[in-house]
Amino acid sequence: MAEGARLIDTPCWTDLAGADLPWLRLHRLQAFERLSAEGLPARGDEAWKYTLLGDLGERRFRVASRAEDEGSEAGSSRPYRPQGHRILFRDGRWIIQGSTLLPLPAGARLVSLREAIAQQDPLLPEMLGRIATLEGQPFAALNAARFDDGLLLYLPEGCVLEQPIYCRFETDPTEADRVSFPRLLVVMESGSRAQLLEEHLGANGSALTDLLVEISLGEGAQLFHGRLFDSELGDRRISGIHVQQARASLYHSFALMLGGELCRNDLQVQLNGEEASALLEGLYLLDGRQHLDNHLRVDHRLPGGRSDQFYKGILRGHARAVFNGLAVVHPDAQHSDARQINRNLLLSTGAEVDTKPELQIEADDVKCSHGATVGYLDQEQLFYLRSRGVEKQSAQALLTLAFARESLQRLPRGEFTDAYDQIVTDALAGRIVSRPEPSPDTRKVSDE
Amino acid sequence: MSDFLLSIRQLAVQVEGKQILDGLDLEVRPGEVHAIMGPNGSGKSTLAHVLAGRPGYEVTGGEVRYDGQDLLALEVEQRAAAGLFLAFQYPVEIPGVSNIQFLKTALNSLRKQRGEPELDALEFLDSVKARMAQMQMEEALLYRGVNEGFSGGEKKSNEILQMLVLEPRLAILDETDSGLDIDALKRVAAGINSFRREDRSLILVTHYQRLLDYVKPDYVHVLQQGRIGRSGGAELALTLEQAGYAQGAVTETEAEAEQGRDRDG
Amino acid sequence: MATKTPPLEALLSKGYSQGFVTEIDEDSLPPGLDESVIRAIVEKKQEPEFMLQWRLAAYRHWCSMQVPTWSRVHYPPIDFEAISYYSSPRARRKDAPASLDEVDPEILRTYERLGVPLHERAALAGVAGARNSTNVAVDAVFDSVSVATTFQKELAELGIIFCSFSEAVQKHPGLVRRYMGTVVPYTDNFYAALNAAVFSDGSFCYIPKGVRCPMELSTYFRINAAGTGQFERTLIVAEEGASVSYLEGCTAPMRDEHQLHAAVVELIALDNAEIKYATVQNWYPGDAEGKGGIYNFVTKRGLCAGHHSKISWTQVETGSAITWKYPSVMLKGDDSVGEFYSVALTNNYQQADTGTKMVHIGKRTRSTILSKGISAGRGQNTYRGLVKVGRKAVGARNYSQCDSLLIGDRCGAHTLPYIEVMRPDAQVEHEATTSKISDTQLFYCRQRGIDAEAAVSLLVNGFCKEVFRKLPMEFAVEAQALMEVSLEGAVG
Repeated sequence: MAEGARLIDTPCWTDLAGADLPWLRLHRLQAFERLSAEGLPARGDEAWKYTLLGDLGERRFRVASRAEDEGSEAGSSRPYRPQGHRILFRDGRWIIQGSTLLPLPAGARLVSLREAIAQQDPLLPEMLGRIATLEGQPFAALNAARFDDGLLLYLPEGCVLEQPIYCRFETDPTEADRVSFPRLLVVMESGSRAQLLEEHLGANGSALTDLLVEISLGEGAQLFHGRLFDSELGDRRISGIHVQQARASLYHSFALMLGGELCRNDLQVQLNGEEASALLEGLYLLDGRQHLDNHLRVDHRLPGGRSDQFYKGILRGHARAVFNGLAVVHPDAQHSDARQINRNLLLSTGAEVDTKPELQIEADDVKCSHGATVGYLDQEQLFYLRSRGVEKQSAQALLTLAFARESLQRLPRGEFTDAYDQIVTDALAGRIVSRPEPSPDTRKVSDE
Repeated sequence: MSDFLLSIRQLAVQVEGKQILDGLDLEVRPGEVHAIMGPNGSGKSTLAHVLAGRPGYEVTGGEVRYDGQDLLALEVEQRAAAGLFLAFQYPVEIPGVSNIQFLKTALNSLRKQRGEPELDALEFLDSVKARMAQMQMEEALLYRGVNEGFSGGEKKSNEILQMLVLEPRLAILDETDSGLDIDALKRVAAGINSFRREDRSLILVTHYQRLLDYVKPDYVHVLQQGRIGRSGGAELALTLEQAGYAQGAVTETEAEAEQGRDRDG
Repeated sequence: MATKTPPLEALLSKGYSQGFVTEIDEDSLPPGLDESVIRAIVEKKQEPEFMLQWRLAAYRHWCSMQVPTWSRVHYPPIDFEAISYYSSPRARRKDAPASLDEVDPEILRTYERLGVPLHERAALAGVAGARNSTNVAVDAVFDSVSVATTFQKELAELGIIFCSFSEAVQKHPGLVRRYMGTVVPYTDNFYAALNAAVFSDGSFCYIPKGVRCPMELSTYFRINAAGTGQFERTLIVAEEGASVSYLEGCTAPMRDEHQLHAAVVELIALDNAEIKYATVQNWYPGDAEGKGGIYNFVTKRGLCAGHHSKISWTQVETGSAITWKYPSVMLKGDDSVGEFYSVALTNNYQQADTGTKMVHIGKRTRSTILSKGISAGRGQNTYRGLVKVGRKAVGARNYSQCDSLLIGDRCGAHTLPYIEVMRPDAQVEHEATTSKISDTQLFYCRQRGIDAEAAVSLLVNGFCKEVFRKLPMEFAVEAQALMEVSLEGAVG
């Protein structure tokens, strides 16, 4: 496959894993038909109001061949070797040489999706594509039509994975215009527990990753889902995370977003059981011309559910952050508790924040609130610190870090917690605070 | 015709399927002051709430007569119109509705239900202010939201103020003394005493004896296991204060309760 | 609630007291819209050529537009060919009435019944039952035309122009031409284009430099004729240092059909000028089953053109089957201020999609948004707002608070705030809560003898108090009374 193709061009079906399985062929075809009918997001599409895709639809991307991926050396230079299951994905493919799996409890399965398809895992026709909503989600449909590999995690009833699962996603830095469609399926039966940690790294500079994650949580199941984005300008990553939760389950997502030219996350959670909880948290530190768009939607369908959206961000340069949080409380979901917070620090004149915390309430006995702020550091606090002798630069750095730490404090304890903290501290010290810029109170009024 | 204002017979009440009151008897004549005492969870507040008609309480047995009527058949506001007043243990905050507006609306609603004309606005204001002065409350509280941001003492005083303005025939005070310092307690007690009249009755629901140092009850009842375990005069409260509920009451409860039932039957 | 509450539906009969029809001869154009209708309107109103050209341009633009569908309101498609675009009470003489004595007494009686004083002496003396006993100048718009404007002479002595739009076109064409369409161009949206093409009357108000208008100005809109739409236009200009407070009221008869009201309001405040615009909107909301009622699709926008200017919108929306409007402020002048205070109540099958846009363009511009939405019955209430801080809006500030109150479990409350910030020194805060009337509060009120319905009304008025406080006194009283009527049958 030497020639690149446009994203909406018909893929070469026979190249894909499980091409001969009727149910899978149908799944891909239906997704492709939807994509063809709806097309990629265009100007005027409300869900993409602030994120224009430019020439993405016209660009010719190339999918790496299996041989290329398995042959090349690991692209990442980051020598991070945490304790746990470690899986390396290059261009969306599970690379066996770069991965280390620990022994699993009885009944648990952690395998490459390609492998699971080859072995005709009975879970796949039952669950794959059953969780994600493709309607109005063109990139989810694109992934559903074109995925070739990824991961299957299955935990039986009561199974507790003590060690976290690290999934590192890299793109081959040597090839331009690479596209990949990794697909993750996580099915956790009642009472099971796990930690899944995505790391999106890489320095390709022109790659597009279209990730689709489907998660099903049984009664009382608990999943912590960490997502780290730290790649170079030029990289574009679009993810769809679709979660279905049964009674009293807990889904806790934390996204730490520092990199990429374009990063778009559509996180959709269905609280389908009573007393289910979703904690959706994020922290973004953006600079340059980075563009980040987080779209969150939680559907409270049954009584007693709780959702907490908590996103904070710090922006510099000409970065732009978009937040669209939506909580829907359906008529039967009495006693729901839905909260949304989006707070932003703008540290430069070129940066922009577009935020829209949205509530749709159809039940009356609910507690719902949302709040959004955009602004500079609190002048009172700044003054207070300076009056106690702290230099202005240090005071700003201190308050900026404190702003970020409020998010980090919500993380569960683990090896990754310290890693995240370190990344944030480094990023703030290196990228954001060390480049002095006069603060707004002293800055001359400039009409740019 | 009975000479009782309130007569409770074999009252049984459940909350969320749990039996809280179980065969409670109580009779109150006009002009009497009854104190209902008992340990936490004995059902004192439940009794107060059931009498006022608070939603969420299921009456599973017994009857309550008030001024010759079936009290339990009346709506909450009808009971209020018939002269029954509950001072809340935790007075409710109503932001945006001023205290004076609330009092006026309440009084005029009561008068309307009784077929009486509305009160003249100025006359009303004067009488409220006089009672506030009596309660040593700041007039500014009249123009703030009902109980909004009031201190604990101000909230309790505000309940007594409402009682003085609305002039009920039977006032049930639910733990009105809780959370008050000694000066506030004295002010509240003075307010209660000024309310006492031969045609007005009071039920004081309290955990401690100290309110009874200032408002002397005619009868003291000890609530145990969902019914009146023991009754006596004002001196019973002092016994309880010294010996505690466990010593003073529980051990004798069964026998006395039996006797009580015999007497009633 | 666990215990019984009184059968409150029984009290519904009080209902909408402004729903009567006035029996008079109306002079209406046949239904339908094409260029000949526009020419006929221009002809009837004897408008100058520039009006015809502007209307035709708007009409042609409208023909190229699609009916907007982005709001959260649902209704069957409107047949624009079935509406009569002009309806006026048949004049006794050919030209407009020169004094009140020439206005049809039926119409005068109508306004009297609505509590709107058109007799100046009576107004000053305080007509019994009149809404405004103090000095209020009124422009009364009946269907498509203005039937009377009071206190014109007194105002003219100060240089204030307050008249119907038609009169302004005749007597002050220069001012009309200079300002009309500068804040809401006909290209702005579908209904603004339609309005520009066919608008038949409305109010015009001009406050000259340095003048503080000594009385409240008010327009009272009344739809009477069946099968018509009302398309009026209001233009208020406050010159440097001028200030004015303006009130708007609206009612319509009860009819089974839906009627369209598509108005445009433009406000312009120059340096140091201040305009306060208050609306108590009580168009017929339809019956308890959702039959009939007004479609209220309105474009209202103010331009703070000068520095230190201020525009304040206050609205109480209790009527209409569907309300769809966003009174907005373009904060162009440095240090200008925009405010939006709103209460929107939807009961039965009413729908409201309302909010505001605060566009910060100038330096140190400030805006405040306070929105209180109440949903009862099957009502659907949406707050939709935009706060935009542009690249040059140094030190802009916004504070928004949007609270929703739900009464009953079949209604909906939705909040869609858009916040777009391009300045690091901006300070933008948005807060929103959704709550219901708590059982404890209700019990507390009822224990004090206040029945459930009165208690709900008391609590709702408490919820709205911060907004009512922004209304002129007479309107605040009317607004509270309206809330009570509109909430009937909401509990139980």
